[in-house]
Amino acid sequence: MYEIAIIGAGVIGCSIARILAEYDIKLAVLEANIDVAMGATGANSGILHAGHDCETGTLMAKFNYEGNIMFDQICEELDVPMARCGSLVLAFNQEDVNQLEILKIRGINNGLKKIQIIGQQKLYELEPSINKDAIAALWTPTAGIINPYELNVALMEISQLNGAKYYFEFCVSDIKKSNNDFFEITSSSGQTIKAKKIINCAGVFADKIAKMVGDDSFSITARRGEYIIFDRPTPVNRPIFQVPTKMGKGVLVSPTIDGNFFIGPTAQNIEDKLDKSTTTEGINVLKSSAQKIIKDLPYNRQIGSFSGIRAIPSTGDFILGESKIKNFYNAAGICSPGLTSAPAIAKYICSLFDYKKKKTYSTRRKRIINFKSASNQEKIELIRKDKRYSNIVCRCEVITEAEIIEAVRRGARTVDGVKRRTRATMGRCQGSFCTPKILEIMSRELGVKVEKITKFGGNSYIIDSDVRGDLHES
Amino acid sequence: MKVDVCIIGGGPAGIEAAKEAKSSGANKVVLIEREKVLGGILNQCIHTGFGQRLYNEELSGPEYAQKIINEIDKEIEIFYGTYVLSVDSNLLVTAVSEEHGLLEIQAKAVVLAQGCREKPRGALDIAGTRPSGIFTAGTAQRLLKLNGKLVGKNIVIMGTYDLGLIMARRFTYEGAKVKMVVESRPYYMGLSKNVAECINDLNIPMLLSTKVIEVLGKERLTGVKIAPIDENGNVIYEKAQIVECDTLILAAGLVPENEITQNAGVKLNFASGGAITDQYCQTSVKGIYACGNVLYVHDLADYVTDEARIAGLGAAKYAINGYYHNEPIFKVISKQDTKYTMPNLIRKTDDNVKLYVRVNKKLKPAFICVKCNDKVIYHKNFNILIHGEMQPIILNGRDIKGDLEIICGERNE
Ligand SMILES: Cc1cc2nc3c(=O)[nH]c(=O)nc-3n(C[C@H](O)[C@H](O)[C@H](O)COP(=O)(O)OP(=O)(O)OC[C@H]3O[C@@H](n4cnc5c(N)ncnc54)[C@H](O)[C@@H]3O)c2cc1C
Repeated sequence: MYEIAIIGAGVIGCSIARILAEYDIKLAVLEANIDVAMGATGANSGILHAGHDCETGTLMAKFNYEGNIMFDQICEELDVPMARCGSLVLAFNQEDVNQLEILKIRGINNGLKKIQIIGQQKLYELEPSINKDAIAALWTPTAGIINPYELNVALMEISQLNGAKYYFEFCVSDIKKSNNDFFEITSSSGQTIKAKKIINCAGVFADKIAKMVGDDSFSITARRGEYIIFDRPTPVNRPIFQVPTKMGKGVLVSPTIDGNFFIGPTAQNIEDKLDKSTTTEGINVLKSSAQKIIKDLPYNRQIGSFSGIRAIPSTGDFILGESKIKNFYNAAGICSPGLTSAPAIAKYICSLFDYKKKKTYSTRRKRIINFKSASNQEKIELIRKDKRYSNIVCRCEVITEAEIIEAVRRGARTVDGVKRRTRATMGRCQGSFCTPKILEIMSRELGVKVEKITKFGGNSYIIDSDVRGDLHES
Repeated sequence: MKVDVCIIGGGPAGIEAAKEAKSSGANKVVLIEREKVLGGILNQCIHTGFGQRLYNEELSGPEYAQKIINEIDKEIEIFYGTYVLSVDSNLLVTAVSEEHGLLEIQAKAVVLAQGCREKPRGALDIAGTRPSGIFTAGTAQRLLKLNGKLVGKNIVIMGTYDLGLIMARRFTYEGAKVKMVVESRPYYMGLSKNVAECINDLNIPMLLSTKVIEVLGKERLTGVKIAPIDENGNVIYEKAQIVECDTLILAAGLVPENEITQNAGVKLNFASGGAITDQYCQTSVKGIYACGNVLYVHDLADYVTDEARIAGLGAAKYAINGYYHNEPIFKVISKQDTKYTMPNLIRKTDDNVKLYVRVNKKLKPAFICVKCNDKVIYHKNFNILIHGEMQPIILNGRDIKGDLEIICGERNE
């Protein structure tokens, strides 16, 4: 019997798990997918919003502001790279400037101190490559960028270190409340676990989970956002927005923490909540709106497109706290700025419980050593300790065999899992060179045939079969 | 380690540059290759058609590679299985290999010859889901050759570059079904010989002017949506149809490898994706030369050989006594239907200058015109010019007194 079961291992579920794992309770995290960060957390803009977008007085505004501040400490403790590069919202005409004034006042009301409107000169000093038609910008130095799935992995690892038990490929399909005051949670493959309390962090499916216990107070709409990602170097130094519209913050251009850059996202409501397709129309919309920020984007350096799905709550705000069903808690409808808000949301949810801390627990975790960014002296050391650091597997990102093995050792079971932990396959060849080698290493380390290794679970196998073997390369 | 010339990449360009550097007097020449064998892309080119000019023979890629490898001077030191991590502007080359660990090589001159790589899906603007089952032809080939693994059973091939055509035959031999080859251009990109032997002889349908517009399937690929393209290059979406398959193979072209180039601070050309060089293969960083497919994707190994010799010679002269061409420089500007021209810069000279011109679409009949200071210094008619084959042109250096405009277009008859 678990004291608490968290449903959903996205950034919200795992942020909560990080805190709860420090308490002296039995904790389970149930995740439908084979890994963390496969929902909204795996495909978003990765921006730590400063906090001028949300209506003052909403939970979104409160947790955005509070969450943003908490990232310095979290990233330090969990060894997750983050950059406080600030962000800009561009204005192209007087009407836009008026909008910036509104955003600025809202920002101040939401708690921001460092927020100002800057003129062309300062703007082009900060961002020399942007469209020279911009006449002013809203400048918030406290915004930042982070790699959301790297954060998600780190949150899982620290909570595992402190005893949280993760169940992957556990798609919750039924929840029964027994008379003895606990929940019986069943997965679609028939596995069952018991827990006294449930925290629902199931992203776009949070409404479905809530209905299983009889909470129908909200519904979730899926809103897809498409992106195009480009190879290094980035022409911009920080996220650059346009004036927001009803559908969201609009298409932006932003660097990633790893030095690439992207344009996106679009905003389109979709029926199938799992439909992560990109579309020709979406990509065209992206290209034409991003052009406002930077003319002549280098499309010959485009290395991929993808989309992410936002969980838009029918209530218009985050849904947080105990529902009308006792011991069933929601952290639902966590659309943007959900990533930024995650630490504050987790802190709030955990403040609703009253548990004692464990006698000992860790607060720190180290990321996988990155050979590429080590100094030459460190590289020599690494190779001396483990020869597999001298075997470069992923050429584009310079990822070594030792790093791949470490990712597998830490729980990567799919090629995408290795990718999220090491960046292997993320470069401009998108895995063309290294996929065969990664498969080989994974097969060896996991002790399974390569045919069994998938890209991201389910039926996403990569290799079909052995060749017939009666033919040789002509 | 201190060396005169360090060559990065052991394909035809790197091998030729190394030989030339050595025979031009450079003392210590090292050649670094990340694979365990030399030859680079030649090892993939199992069709014949190499070596006519050098050896007066019809050789396959690997045979040709073996010939040029056999001629390598014994004094050239070759590092196999060695991956170059970086070249800095002081020409310090940092590399790593299982055999030697971390290597620091201080060179007096560097030749970049890392070649090119295949375009992945992400670079090709194909809409749809993100399932497994999409591979470049090279990846599928490596899995077959090195691992003995077949990627799928029902295969669609997108693009008609040679490797895709060869893989179509190979898949068929291995018992997979190649349902079709689709090419968005109205003509195929590979050699006619490969189309005949790998596609036509095996009765594999080849659909020209057809585009893969979407991939389907949430986990493994379940199909692709294809649609015809009209004469004006527009996709006719109403005529789209779904082809069921479990695998999509991409043979849609190559792009220069340029991480090292870029990190060394070498300026890149937007259209070709490779370094900007003058006719002496000098890049924007003194002492760094570039040749072969790392500059742009060459169609013929012969052109690579010519270029590699220039680069090897330049690097040797620079290493020996710092000789550097610093005559006034002129830009080569591509106009109208010219996609790009190599080299992109010309230094003032009295010698003839050879340029290679790539057009951005099929031109029939065609012309190439070169203007300098608004004066026509070259004009020639051609029956046809196609995107897949670069056209060499020779200019008289004395005519070049300013920036050049290279104008390609279709002739009105
Ligand atoms: C396009 C886009 C751009 C965004 N940009 C930003 C940004 O720049 N900054 C920012 O702060 N926020 C941004 N966000 C918002 C942010 O990504 C989300 O708020 C955040 O990731 C939500 O995390 P989550 O854990 O709630 O959801 P998810 O990451 O979706 O996690 C939910 C998990 O629940 C699991 N689950 C669902 N159903 C079940 C079930 N039945 N059984 C078991 N498990 C289940 C899912 O598999 C999933 O892993 C963006 C979102 C999108 C889509």
